[in-house]
Amino acid sequence: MSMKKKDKKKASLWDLKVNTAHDPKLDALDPQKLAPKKLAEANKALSKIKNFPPDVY
Amino acid sequence: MKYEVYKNLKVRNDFQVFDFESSGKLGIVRKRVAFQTTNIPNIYNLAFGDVTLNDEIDDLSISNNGDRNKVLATVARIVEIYLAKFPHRYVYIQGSTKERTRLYRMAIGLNLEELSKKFLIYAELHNGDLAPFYNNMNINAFLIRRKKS
Repeated sequence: MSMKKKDKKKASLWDLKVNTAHDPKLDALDPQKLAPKKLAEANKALSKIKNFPPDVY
Repeated sequence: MKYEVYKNLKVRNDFQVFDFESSGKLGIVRKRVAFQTTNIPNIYNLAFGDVTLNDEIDDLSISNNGDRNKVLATVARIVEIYLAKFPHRYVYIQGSTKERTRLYRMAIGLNLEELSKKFLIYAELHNGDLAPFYNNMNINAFLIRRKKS
């Protein structure tokens, strides 16, 4: 790709790289118990949806 | 558009929990994102907020650390990483308040063209129906999945 074209390349949301490192301390957590009220609200809202995309199930 | 993000993410071995540190005018604030299984097998609820002393997520806290956009962009990046790892899963995203849901809607709306290249974005309407998201919809939550390549 020429420099001119490179310069014109639109900035992307995903351009900036991030580092993910495994943290063993997080393994001890139960994700379900980290925000139980939020999860209950989500389940309540999801139970009312009747037109899920076919690949949900 | 390109947004600044927090680059050092800590992750649980199964990618269900991510931590990062917000660094702003009030100092360091620990942030956590969790993907929780729901009663619908293929849908995972996104929980996000500050880490409490009990190691839980406080999704109502207001950090006021002056880095809102950077934090939001980091959460978006975490969702992108998660859905790259689990491309068949859906993530359910609802703000902890109506104002935060509106903030998420604006953030997604501003970047809808680019996000739509990579993700299927559904809006949960207030009557409980799902519909493809478009800008300025009045919504209750988002349901997002990576597009099949």
